[in-house]
Amino acid sequence: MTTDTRRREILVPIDIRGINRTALEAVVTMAQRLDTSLLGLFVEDIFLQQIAELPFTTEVVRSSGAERDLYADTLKRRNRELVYTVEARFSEFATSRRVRFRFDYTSGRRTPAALERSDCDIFFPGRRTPRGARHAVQGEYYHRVKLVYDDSPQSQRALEILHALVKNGHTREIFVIAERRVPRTLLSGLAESGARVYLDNTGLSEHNRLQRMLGNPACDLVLLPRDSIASTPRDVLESAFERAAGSVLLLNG
Amino acid sequence: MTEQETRRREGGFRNPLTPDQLYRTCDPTSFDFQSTSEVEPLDDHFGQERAVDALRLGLDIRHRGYNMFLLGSTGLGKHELLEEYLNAKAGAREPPDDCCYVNNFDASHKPVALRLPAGRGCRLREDMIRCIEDLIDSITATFQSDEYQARLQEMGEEYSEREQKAFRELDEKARQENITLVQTPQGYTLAPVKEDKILSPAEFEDLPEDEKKKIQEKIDELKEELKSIIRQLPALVKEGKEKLKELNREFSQLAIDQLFADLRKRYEDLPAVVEHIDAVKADVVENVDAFRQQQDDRRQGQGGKLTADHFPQYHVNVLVDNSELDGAPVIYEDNPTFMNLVGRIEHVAIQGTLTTNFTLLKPGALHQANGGYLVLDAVKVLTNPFAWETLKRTLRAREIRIQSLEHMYSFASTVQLEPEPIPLNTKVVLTGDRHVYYLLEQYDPEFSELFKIAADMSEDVEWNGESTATYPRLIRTLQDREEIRPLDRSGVARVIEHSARQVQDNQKLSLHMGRLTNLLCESDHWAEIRGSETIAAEDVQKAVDAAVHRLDQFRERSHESILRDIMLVDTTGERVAQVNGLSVYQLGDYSFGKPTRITATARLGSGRVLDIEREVKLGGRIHSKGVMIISSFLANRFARDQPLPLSATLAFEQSYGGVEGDSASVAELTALLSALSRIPVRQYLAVTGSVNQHGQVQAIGGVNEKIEGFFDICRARGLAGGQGVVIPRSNLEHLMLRDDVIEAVAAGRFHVYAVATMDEALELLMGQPAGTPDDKGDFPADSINGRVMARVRDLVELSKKYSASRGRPGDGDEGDNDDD
Repeated sequence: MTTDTRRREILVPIDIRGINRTALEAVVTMAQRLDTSLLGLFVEDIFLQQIAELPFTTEVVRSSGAERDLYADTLKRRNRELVYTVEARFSEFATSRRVRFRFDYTSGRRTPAALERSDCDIFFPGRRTPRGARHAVQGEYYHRVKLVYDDSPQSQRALEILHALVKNGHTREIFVIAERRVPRTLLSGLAESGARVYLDNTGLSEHNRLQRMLGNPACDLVLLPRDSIASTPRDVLESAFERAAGSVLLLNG
Repeated sequence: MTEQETRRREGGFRNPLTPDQLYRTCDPTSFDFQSTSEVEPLDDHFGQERAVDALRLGLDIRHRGYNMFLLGSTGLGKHELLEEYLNAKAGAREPPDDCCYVNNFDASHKPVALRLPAGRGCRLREDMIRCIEDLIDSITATFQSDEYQARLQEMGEEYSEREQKAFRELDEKARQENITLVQTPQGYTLAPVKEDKILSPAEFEDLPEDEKKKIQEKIDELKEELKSIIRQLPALVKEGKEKLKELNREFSQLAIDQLFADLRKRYEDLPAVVEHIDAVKADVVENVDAFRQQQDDRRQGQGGKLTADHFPQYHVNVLVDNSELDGAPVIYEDNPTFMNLVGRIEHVAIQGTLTTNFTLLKPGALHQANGGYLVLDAVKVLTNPFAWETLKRTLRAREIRIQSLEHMYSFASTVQLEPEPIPLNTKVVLTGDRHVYYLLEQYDPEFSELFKIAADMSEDVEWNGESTATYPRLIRTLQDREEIRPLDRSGVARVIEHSARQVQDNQKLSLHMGRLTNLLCESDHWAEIRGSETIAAEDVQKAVDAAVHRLDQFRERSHESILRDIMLVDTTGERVAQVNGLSVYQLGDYSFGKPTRITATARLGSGRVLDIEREVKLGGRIHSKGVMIISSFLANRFARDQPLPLSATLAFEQSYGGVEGDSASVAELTALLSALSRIPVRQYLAVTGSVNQHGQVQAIGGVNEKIEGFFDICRARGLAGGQGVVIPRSNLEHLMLRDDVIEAVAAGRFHVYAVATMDEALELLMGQPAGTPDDKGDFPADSINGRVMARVRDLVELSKKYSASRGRPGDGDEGDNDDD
C-alpha cells in the first residue's frame, strides 16, 4: 500500500436537513485516524427557498402525512440555526480530537454543490438514522462498510482507509463489491485484521452497482471511488446519495 | 360410727408421723449396677406411652385434618420425643418432589409452579442455564451467517424499493404535469417546473390566471396522492417488520430446535416440564430480536460477557431442593411468622421503583416441609400476627399460596405476583402447654377440625419397682446426650428421690427432662470439683442445695422478718383465736413455705362469717369458697335447728398481697372455734388443710414446703420439742421432706401430725377433746364442741333479748356485743 491518504481534505456538505451528531462524530474520528482536515460546506438550498416563496406551497410531513405551511422565512431561520448548531458541534468534536477544520458557505443543492469539488474527498452524511448508532457507543462508528474495488488508485486508497478503520476498531463487517477478481491478499489482509468480509463479485453494470452500493443491506459507510461512477448522470447520483441509508465517502483524485 | 370417728376415738392421730413416713427413700443397694455406665440407654420414651400411641396414630393416618398437638409443659422433652418419632417415620418415606417456580409467558404476574422428583429441580435449573448459554452462541452464529445476511438484504431491498417506487411513480406522474416532488427537511412538497427548472415566484406570477389556477389544482390533487402514499408507509413498515420477524423466527428455529429437542427429551417423563420447555422455546423464537438486542448492548461495553443471567425470564427458581434428603423432610420452624410460614415475595429497587418477578419468590416452612412434617410452637404461632389464621387457611385449603401482607390488605401499590398455589401435603405438629390446647379447643372452632390428634405427655410416672429399674436407664440416656460422668448407685438413688420431691409425691417420679438434665449437669459439675469419676449422692445433693440457694434470698428475707418479730408469728405458748396457718410462695420453679398468723373474732350477729381478705379484694375465689364452707360447717354443727346469731371475722394478719386457695380453712375454722369456745390454741403447732362442710380435712398442695417453712422458723428460734405441723392425712403420700426435718423428727424435736377430720385437728391444736355428739346432737359440756355449742346458745339468748328490746327479732348484726 503506497497510496498517500495523508494531508487530504474531506469535504462535508451540509444542507438544511443537517447532519446528525453520530455521523459528525464519526467523520471527525475518521479524519483523525486518516490525519486529514475537514471542510464543512454549508449549502443553502435556494431551490427549496424558491419553492417556499410560491404563494401556495405547503409541506406534507413524512412522519404523519399532515400538511402544513412552508414559509421562506421559516426555512431561512432554520438554516441560520442549523449553521450555528453544526458549527458548534463541529468545533467541539474536531478540537477535542485535534482535527483541523474550516467552513465554507454556498448555495444550491447539496450533492451538485459538493460534486463541483474534485480536489478533496467528499463525505455525504447519511440521510437516515445511522444503523451503527448503537455500535458507535463502542467506537464502531462504521460497523458495516461497503467498498467498490476496481483496482484503481482510488479504490486502493479506499482500501487503505478501510484498513485504518478496521485497525482502529471502527469497522467489523465489510462488503466488497468487485468488478473484477479481487486479489487474495487483499481479502486475507482484511480478514486478518479482525473484520468479517463478504465478497460480491457479480459484474454488475455501473448503475446497478450504484444501486447495490447505496441500497440494502443498510450499511454505515460506503467507500466509493469517483471514477467508478464517472459516467453516472449528476441527477442519478444526486438521487442515489439522497436515498442512501448510510454515509458515503466519495474518493476523488 | 365412721372409720374416721373410730380412728379418732382410738387417738392414733395424736401420734406424730415416723421419719419413714416423711420421706420415701430409694435404696441404692437395690440396683444391680455400680454406675450408670453399666446400664443400657433407653430405646423408648419412659412413661410417655399415651403420647407415643397418639403420635403413632397421628403420623399413620393420612386423612384430612389429622394434624397433631403435642401437650406438655416446657422442658418435658417434647422435641426429643418428636425428633425420634418424626425422624423414624420420615426416614421410611421417599423424599418429596422438588418445587420450582417458572415464568408464565402468558401472564408473567402469575408464575407457574412445577414439581419434579427430588434432585431434578436443580438439574432442570442447570440444564436451562446451559441451554440459554448455548442459545446465545447459536443465535449469534445463525444471524451472522451469510445465508441470513443475504435473505435480509433481499428483503430490505424489496421493501425499500416498494417505498421508493411509490414516490418515484408520484414524481413521474407529477412531471407529466410539469410539477416536481421535492424533499423538505421533514417531508415533501410539490412545485411547478418549466423545462426542468422550478418556477420562481415571479415566473409563477407572470402566468395567466387560469394556468396558475390549473397548476394549483394539479398540485392539490397530487398532494392528496402524496398524503395517501405517506399514510401507507406505516403499514409498509409494519409489513416489513412482520416479514423480518418471520425471517428471524425461521432462522431462530434453526438455531434452537436441536437445543430444545435435547432438553425436551431429558424431561419427557414430566409433561408439565415439557410444557414449560415448549413455552420457553416459543418465547425465544418470538422474542429473538430482544435476544439479539441484549447481545448487541453487551457488545457495546455495557458489562462483560453475555450470560444466562441476562435472561432471567427463562430461569428456574428452585423453591425447595430435596436432593440432599434421604426421606421426608422434618422442619422445625422456631420463628413462625407469616412470611416464614408461607414464604415471601421479595422486591428489588430499580430506578427508585420496587419491582419483582418469579425469581424473587422465597419459600416458607410449609414449602420446606411439604411432603413431610412441620413442627411449630403453638404460642409462637398464636403470637405472631396473621400466622395462626394463615396456617389454618393453608391447612384448610390444602395449598400454599405465597401472598404478601401488603397485597392482602391493599397497603402497597408496587408490582405484585400471584404465584400458582402449591398443593400441600404436610403433617403439622403443634407443641404447647395444656392450657393453650384447651383454650384453642374452647375458643377456636376450627382448631379441633384441623388438629384432631392430641398427644398428651405425662408429667410423672408411678414410682414402683419397674420405674425404679428404668430410671437409671433414663439417666444413662441423658448422660450420653449431655456427655456427663456416670452416676454411681447413690447418685441414682438421690436423683430418684429428688424426682419424687419435684412432683410433690412419694408415689410418683418426675418425667420433666429439662429439670432432670439440669440436675445431672450441675451434679456433674460438683463431681468434677470433687475430682470424682462418678457422680455420687453428695454431688446431687450439692446441686439441689445450690439451686435452692440461688433462688433462696426472698425466703430468707421473709423468714428473717418473722424471726425479727416484724411479722408476728408465735412458736411457743397458747393463744385464743389465733392460729399458725401455712402458706406457700411460688417463684417460678422455686417455692417455699412460711407460717402466717390467722385470727378470728366472734360476736352477736346475723350468722355471717366475714372474710376480711375478701372484703378488701385481697382474697381469691377459692379462698372465699373456703370461708363459706366454714360458715356452713358452723351452722350445720351448732345451729341446725335455729338461726346462728353470730358475726365472725377472719383475717390473715400482716398479709398485704393476695390470698388464694382453701388450704388455710382448717386454720381459719380452728381460730373461729377458739374464739367461740375461748379455748386457746397451741402456737407451737402450725396447721394446713382444707375442710369440707362435714368437717373432713382434705389434701392441700405444697405440703413439704409448708412443713419446712414452719420448721425453719422453729429451728431458728430453737426447737423446744413440742413444735410441729398438723397436715391432712391425705397428704401423707406427698411427703418428701428435707433431711434436716427428718433428723429433727427422729430426734423427737419436731413433729408432723396427720389428721383426717376437723375434730382431730382441734384436739391436737387445742389440747382438749373435741367431743362426740350424743343422740340429740349435743356435745359434752367440757369438750371443745360442747363449749362452742354453749356459746352459741348464749348468743341465741342474747339475740332474743336484743330483738325484744329493739322490736326487731334476729337483727343483731350491728350490735356491740363483741365477744373477743
